[in-house]
Parts: sequence; C-alpha cells; structure tokens
Amino acid sequence: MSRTENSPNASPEHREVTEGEAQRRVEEILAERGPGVGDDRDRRTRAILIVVLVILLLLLCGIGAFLYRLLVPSPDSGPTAREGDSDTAGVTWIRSIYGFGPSADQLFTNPNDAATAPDGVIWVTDPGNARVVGFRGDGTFVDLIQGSKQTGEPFRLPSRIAVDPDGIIYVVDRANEALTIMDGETKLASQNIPGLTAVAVDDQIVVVGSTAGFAILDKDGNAQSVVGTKGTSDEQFDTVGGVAIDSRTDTIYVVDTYNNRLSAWDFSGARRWIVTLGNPANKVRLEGGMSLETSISAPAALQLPTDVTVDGKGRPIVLDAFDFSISAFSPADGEFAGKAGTHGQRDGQFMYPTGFDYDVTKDWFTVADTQNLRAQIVRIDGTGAEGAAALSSWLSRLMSGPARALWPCLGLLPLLLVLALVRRRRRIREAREARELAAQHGFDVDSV
Amino acid sequence: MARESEQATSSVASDDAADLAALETVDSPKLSRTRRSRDPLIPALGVTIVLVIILTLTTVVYALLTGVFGTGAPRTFSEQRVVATAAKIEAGSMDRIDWMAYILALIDDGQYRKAQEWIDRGTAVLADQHISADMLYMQADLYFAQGDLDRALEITDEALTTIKETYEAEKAASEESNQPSRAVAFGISKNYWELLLLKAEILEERSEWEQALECYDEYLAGNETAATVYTLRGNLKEQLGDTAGAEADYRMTLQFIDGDSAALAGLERIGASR
Repeated sequence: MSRTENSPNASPEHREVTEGEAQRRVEEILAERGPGVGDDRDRRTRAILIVVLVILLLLLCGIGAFLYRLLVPSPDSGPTAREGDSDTAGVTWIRSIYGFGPSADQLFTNPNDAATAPDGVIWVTDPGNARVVGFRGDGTFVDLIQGSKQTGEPFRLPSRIAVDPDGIIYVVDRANEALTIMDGETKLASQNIPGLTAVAVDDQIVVVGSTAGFAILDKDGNAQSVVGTKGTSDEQFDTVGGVAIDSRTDTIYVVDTYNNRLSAWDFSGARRWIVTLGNPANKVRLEGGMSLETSISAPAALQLPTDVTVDGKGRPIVLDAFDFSISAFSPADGEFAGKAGTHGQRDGQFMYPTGFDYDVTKDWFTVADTQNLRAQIVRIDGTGAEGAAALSSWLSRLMSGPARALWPCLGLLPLLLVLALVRRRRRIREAREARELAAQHGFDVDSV
Repeated sequence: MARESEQATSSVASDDAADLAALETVDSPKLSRTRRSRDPLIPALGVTIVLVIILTLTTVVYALLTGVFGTGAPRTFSEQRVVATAAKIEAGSMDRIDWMAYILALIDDGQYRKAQEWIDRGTAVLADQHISADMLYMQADLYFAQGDLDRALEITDEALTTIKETYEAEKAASEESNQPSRAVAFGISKNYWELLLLKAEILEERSEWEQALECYDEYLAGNETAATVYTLRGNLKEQLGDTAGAEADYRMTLQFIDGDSAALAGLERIGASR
C-alpha cells in the first residue's frame, strides 16, 4: 500500500492525480538513465527513426551534390576542343555571366566595365543596351539600371563604373559625357566632364579620368586637383583608360592607354612614379602592312592597357585589351611582377577585355570580356592576402555560390542550439522536481 | 538487530515495489494510450528529423526566393554557344552550317540526347547530305564525344567515302558535260578535311598510330598552311620515335606562328633548340 493512501488529508481525486503524476515523473527519471530494458516497442521505434534519419540525410546529401553539380558550372573544355584550346595561361575561371536571361535582349552587348559593391553585388555596364546590370557572385540577377534615378535621364553609353564604400554607384556615360551618381542625397548628382573616360572612388575622394588627364574631387564634387594635358610627354596623357585608388597608402594609379603607361600619384596630385608598359599605341606604325612596329622594350610588353585596379596585396593590376592579359606591378616603383591570361573564347580566356575590378573579400576579378560578350569572374594565384584573410576569402567565395542558400540554416542553428540548451535545462529541473515529488510519495527512484 | 534491520529494509523495498505495481495497475488504461517512451533517444531522433525537414524546406524556399537556381542565362562558353546557335535554328534556318554549329554546340555542352535528335532531324530534312555528309560528320563526332570509338570510326569512314565518291562523281560529270558544278567550283567539302582530323584523333585514341599518321599526312597534303596540325603530327611522330620528323613539324608550325607554345613545348621535349 502506498504511503499516500495513509495520508488522512488525501482525497480520492487528489490521490489519483498525485500518484499518476508521481509515476510519470519516476518513469521520466528512469528513461533518462538509458534505454528501457527489454522494451521491444521502444527499440523498434528507435530503429525506425534512425533508419528514417539516415535515409533523409543520404537523400539530402544526394540532392545537394546533384544541385551543386547542376548549379556550379565547371570550366568547359568540351569534346570538340582541340589540344591547347582551353589553356588559360594562369587564369582560374570561376564563372561567366552572359546576361540576366537566355533571350537576346537579356544578354550583354559588349560589356565594358565591372565593379563590386560592398554588399557583394557585381555591377556590369552594358553600353550596347544602355544599361547597368547587377548580379550576385553566383551570376544570378539582382537589378537593372537604365538611367539616373534622380533625374530620370536615360543612359546612352554607360561605360565605366565604380561603387564607393557606402554602396553608391558612380557611372561614366561617355555619350552624355556625364558622371552619374546613384544617390539622391549626393550633391554631385550628375556632373558633365568633357572627354570623361574613367572613375574610381573611395570613402574620401572621387577620381575621374579623361582623354587628357585626371581630376581628384572631394565627395561633394569639388575639384581638389586637376592633372595633365593631352599629349605624349611624361606630364601628359592620351586617354586615361582606368584609375584606381589604394586607400591604405593614399595612392592613385592611372593607366594612360594610348601612351601605354602606368603611374602612381598621391592624393594631392603629386606623381610618385611612372613606367612605360610597352609600345605606345599612339606611336605605332604599320611596317609593310604585316605587323606593328615595336620601338620600346618593356618587360610587361603590354599593348593597350585599358584599366587598373588594386589587388589584395596592394599591387596595381593592369588589364590589357590587346594583350588579353592581367599584369601585376610593384606598388613601390611600378616594376613588372608578372602576367596571366590569353586570348580565346573558352572559359577563362579573354577577347579584347576593357574593364575589370578586384573584389578583396573574395580574392577574385570580375572582367568585362567585351568581345566575348560576357563578364568573367576569374582568380589569379598570388593576388590575395594570406593567412586568415585567405581563409576568409575562401569562405566568402564559397558562400557567394549556391551554398548561400544555406544562410537561413546557418542563422537558425544558433537559435536551435539555444532552444536545445533551454530544453535540456528544463528537463534537468523537471527531473529534480520529480525526484523530490517521488521522494515525498515514498518512491526510492534510485533503487528501482 | 542486523536481522531486524534487513527485514525492515526488505519490507520497505517490497512496499516500494508493491506501490509501483499498484500505481501501474491503477493507471494502466490511461498509460496504455499516453505512455511516454522510456528511451530518451526516441524524442531526440524525432526532433532531429523534424528539424532537418524544417531546415531543408527553409533552404529551398530561400533558394527559390533569392534566385539561387539561376536565370536561364548561359554560364559557360558551351552554354552560350548553344543559346547563340539555337536562335538561328529556332528562327527556321535550313542552312546546314547553322545546323552543324548548333549540333556541335550541343555536343560540346554534353547534351548528347538532344544532339542525336537534331542529327536525326537534320538527316531527314537537310538537302545535299551526300555532298558534305554533314549529319554523318555530326554523328561521328557525337559517338567520339560519347567514347564509342568503334562506331565513331565506322561513321567517319562512311562519311569520308560518301563525300569523296560524290565529289568525284560530280567532278567527272562536270568534266564530261563541260558544265560548271559545285565540285569544280569549290572543291571537295571542307567536312572531308575535318573528318580526316577527327579520324586521326579517333585512331590516336585507339593507339593506331600509323593509321593516324596517314590521316595527318593526307590532311596536310591538302592544307599546307594548317600551322597547328603540323604540331599535332609532330606529337604523333615524337610518340613513334621519329624525332627528326617531329622537329621538322614543330618548326613548320613556328614558321607560321612565331612563339607557338605547343610547338615550342614539343621542341623542348625532344631536346631541340628553338
């Protein structure tokens, strides 16, 4: 007989509830000690659940692998490619972006430049279609801009593009000769600059290039320094194809396309160094109608440098349209460090590329591969930072692909862990209370 | 005392057991329906399964909402070629060049089943198949891509024979009637030469080096300025131990393309100076 039955104050209802509760609690305590001994039903249920879980996980792994293979394109060599056709000369192809859909009006017509926003969106100018198109790192479509958001004026020939650390987009429209800034609050909403050819921006300054030099502006559009005139001497320029800013060293890099030169400047407009990259296009003569005369010997041997950016090691990196290459130079003195890239249509090859940008968070370049009608995301060994930053950029690249679909899961996991901990603590507390309750009713749980 | 104590303990234990038995008896109808499992793994497994399903669904919904599955735009050169060449075919082109470009793009992109469909369709609808054997050529290329070397070789030979016989027949008829013909005006179909290269590749895959060399010889006899094919033949000669022949071929390539990397690599392999 239970001791509760001996209690003079226990009513029949109270006794039943209390005894039922006590037994339930005792069973819970016993359950926490391990699987029920000799309980066939529990064993069967457990086995079924384990099998279901394993099948579920295997199924998910299979589907995941299939989708990954489906969604992540592999560099194509194709069975009809001849030997050597797929050589990329040191360029590692990640993916190509031909447009934001399969129809002709959704594909690029000679993309001209690319820039990466702080949120990872890659903006590509498509002057042939008078628009700027935004993509995620996995090539999926984000947005389409066809003109100034403030004035409504449509683009005519959007060529160069830059994005500042606040995510504000700067677009050079060569036909309008205007620098359009995609921020309604900026004073420099749209500024007409004759012969405008290039733009770069950081958190302090805006640098614009033109056919005759470059200008350093503050973020309100006030000119701080104007450098150069048109010509071939060292103080002159013949079309600034690209400009880049290294905020870490307060350096501006300028590519002088037709003079085939690269120069470095400080923020006050004082030159630090200048190097010749190859035979200047504006001095080229046809010899016998067969080949271009080469009068200058430069280690880089570039032909028509069209853009410059800064890599993860702080080096100026130059894109050459006619050399189909990406070259690295020393930030200290412009000494040539090496180059990668070759011509062709295959993945990782270039055909008259005109503009590019380096994404330091992912250690990759987005190249406007103009005549191949695509933007290509490529990597080159040795351009990224090392150590923890390299791991970070690897993770960033991984999560910019289809794996980004896992973000909600990764976000939910900490929440689930917290819930599991709370639940665990609650169970411990309940077990303790159950012990106390069972003890009150005379059950020695430990002896059962 | 000890015995009394043992008896007391035993009595308490038997009381507890009796209490438990009594409780189970009292609640047994209810417990039989609502009885909870004693195995803590079971609810944990259940929760895990539910969580896995919830997380999977969350991932799928997020992927759908954020366009992870793409826009249908081409992502590789092969896909771009398929899209670009498909446009002409879909517009109704009956130009054999367009058809071949589309089928080659499909093969390059690994869409073998679709390529086969279009080869079958092309064989039925395209004219002048005996002159250039386009669809036979495509069929041989498809088999080669699929790794079916025997059938690829068989179809290649059939295509080569078809083109050659048709060409010679047309040429003879033209000469006999003294009337102009395509055979006289344009010569043998370009597919003939492409098929020779394909045959050489197939034979190389089958390690039939001598026959492959014959194909290259015939090709270069008809295409003396095919710079890169000299290097292909040079590679083959190198494999056959004909170092002098290989060097001559590599140098022929370099005559046309100064600094050709494949030819230079060949020269380096056989130890010849540049």
